[in-house]
Amino acid sequence: MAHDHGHPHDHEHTHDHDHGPVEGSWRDERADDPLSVSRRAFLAGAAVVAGTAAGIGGAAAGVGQGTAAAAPGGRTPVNPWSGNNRFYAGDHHIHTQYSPDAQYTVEQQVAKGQQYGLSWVVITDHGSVAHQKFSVDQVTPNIEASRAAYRDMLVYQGLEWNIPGAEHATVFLPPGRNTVDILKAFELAYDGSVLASNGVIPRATAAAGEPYAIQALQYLDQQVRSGRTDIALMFANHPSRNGIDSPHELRGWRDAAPRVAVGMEGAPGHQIAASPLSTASPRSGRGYYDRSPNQDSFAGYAPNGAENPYRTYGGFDWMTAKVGGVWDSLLAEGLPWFVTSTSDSHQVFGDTYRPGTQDYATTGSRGAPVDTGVPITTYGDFWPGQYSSTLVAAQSKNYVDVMRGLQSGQVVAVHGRLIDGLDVRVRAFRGDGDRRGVTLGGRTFVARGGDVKLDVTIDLAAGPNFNGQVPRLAKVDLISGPVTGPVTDRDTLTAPQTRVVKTFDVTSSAGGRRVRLDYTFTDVQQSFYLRLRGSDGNQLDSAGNPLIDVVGNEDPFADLWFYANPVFVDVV
Amino acid sequence: MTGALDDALAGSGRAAVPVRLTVAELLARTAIDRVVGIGGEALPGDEVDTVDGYLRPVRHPDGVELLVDPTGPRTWRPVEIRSPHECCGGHG
Repeated sequence: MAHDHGHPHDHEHTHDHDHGPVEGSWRDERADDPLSVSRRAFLAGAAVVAGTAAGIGGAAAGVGQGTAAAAPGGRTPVNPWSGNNRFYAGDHHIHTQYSPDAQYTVEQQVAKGQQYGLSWVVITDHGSVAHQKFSVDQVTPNIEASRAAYRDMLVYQGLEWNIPGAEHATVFLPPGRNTVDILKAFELAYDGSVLASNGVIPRATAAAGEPYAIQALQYLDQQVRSGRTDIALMFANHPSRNGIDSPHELRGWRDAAPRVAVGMEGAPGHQIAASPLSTASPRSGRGYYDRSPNQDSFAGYAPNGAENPYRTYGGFDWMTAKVGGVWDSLLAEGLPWFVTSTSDSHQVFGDTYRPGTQDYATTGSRGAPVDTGVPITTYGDFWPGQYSSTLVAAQSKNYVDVMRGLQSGQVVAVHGRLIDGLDVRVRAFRGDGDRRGVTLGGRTFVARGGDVKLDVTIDLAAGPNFNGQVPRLAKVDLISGPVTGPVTDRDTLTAPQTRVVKTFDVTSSAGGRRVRLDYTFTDVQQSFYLRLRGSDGNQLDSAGNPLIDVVGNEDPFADLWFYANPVFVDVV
Repeated sequence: MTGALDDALAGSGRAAVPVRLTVAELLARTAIDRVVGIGGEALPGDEVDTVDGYLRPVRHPDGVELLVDPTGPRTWRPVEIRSPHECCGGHG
């Protein structure tokens, strides 16, 4: 059984054959079968026992599902390597006319996502009183219509949640009979803007909201446990933009609901906001990262002469871009936390549409967007898929499987089509251990003193990106650090022992289809994790790290990176 | 919130500052003791684009400091500006 338990997708595979994915409509008749619901709950429970849902378990007590089966020191591989994963590109952060600061119809955004090569999109309009009251009932039939019109696209219904006490987050569910009810109840009870409007907390980002954020995630987790939805996910969006997602909040979300709160935007959207072609005034930062500390910001993120956490680096959020920074400090605990890349598409640079004239506060919609016929160059966004892709390896292209792929960290965040795919295998190579090995987001094991081998196959861009260039991958960094266990100070924001252990120069691969890399960790004495990032090599500092993005002067296509999610190695 | 973000230049001094000036001019004309470039040194002859004359330096025990971001070769902009990009109708 150990093998089966370590093979998360076997469970989902069986599930899908029994019931079929709940696809096509949130009113799917199959999902109305009470037996189906109860069996889903049963299978969800089985997955919990198998340690698959939370995936990687944890060193911390009370981390939740999966801990027993996949705790560090155990012998239960997570995300076993198969070598035949298929990646599906998508975007979990897209706005429509049902946000007060956006404009497009759902159908327009889905059509653009398809045009730009995406397989899945999540509609995430801003949470608010007006959105909860008026918008959800309008967007739901629009999403259903887009599912029917674009059969090859997965169109998820979600919310851009104002995390009480913190930044925004994507929350989304697969289609199901309870999906809309859960989203509405969640927003009413736990959206920071709604709580502030109702006087429960002084403002959406005030620290007084932090306990509500924890309760909110526990609520979502309870919806999964009770079988009301197969899965629910949360990703923290633009985490460094205002410096208000403190490290203890990130850890709190992760630990409150490790099956639900699984990661953050490694790269925010709005990637063309600092383009030299922009006519916006004042000029903004890449990602619209042009802010500075406010009353709710975390003191540890204060800018200084060495760095500015409130800016992007190579298009990626500082938490992700800094080696040994916030992301690594989370991974060094031995717990999963995954990164993505999204468009946050509100208003697209060079597009001709402006918002409709409807009053949002009283109707929950901007109304139909208006075509001005003139390209508008003050906007800072790309269309879904035009620049940012979250590549997810999934067993099949259905709603629950793609979410399982995201939940288990089989994910690569890519800008400007720098790569088309990435196969990663990490295995015990000498000495006792997991010979098959695991892939992205996974956890493998080796006996102390053994060797661990990393094999990487990168699919280079097989064609031009949407700027008409075939990107050239110049280098790949292998980053690794020891797993040092739970932190004492929950606001820890560095992992000083994490470093680039090897840089692969792959410039000679230009024109080829694939790059193969390998690296062996010898005589391994301590549990560790590894991750990969790659660059076009255009904008590097002397240590090979990304440069801070210059306000008002960043061509996004001249500075491309990918970031892959970690693999953990337990020494037993 | 970190330390004391001190509006050290409140009052008549602010209006006298032009939108674009050199680091040397900024030091000469205001109470700012030093201009600190992020990721590089802000040299006396470098240009500071205040966007609209807004300056909100931080008072440290050893002087008043203005942190600036790079905006191009030998040009900088204060980390804190009056009107950063708003989202969600200003509620975000």
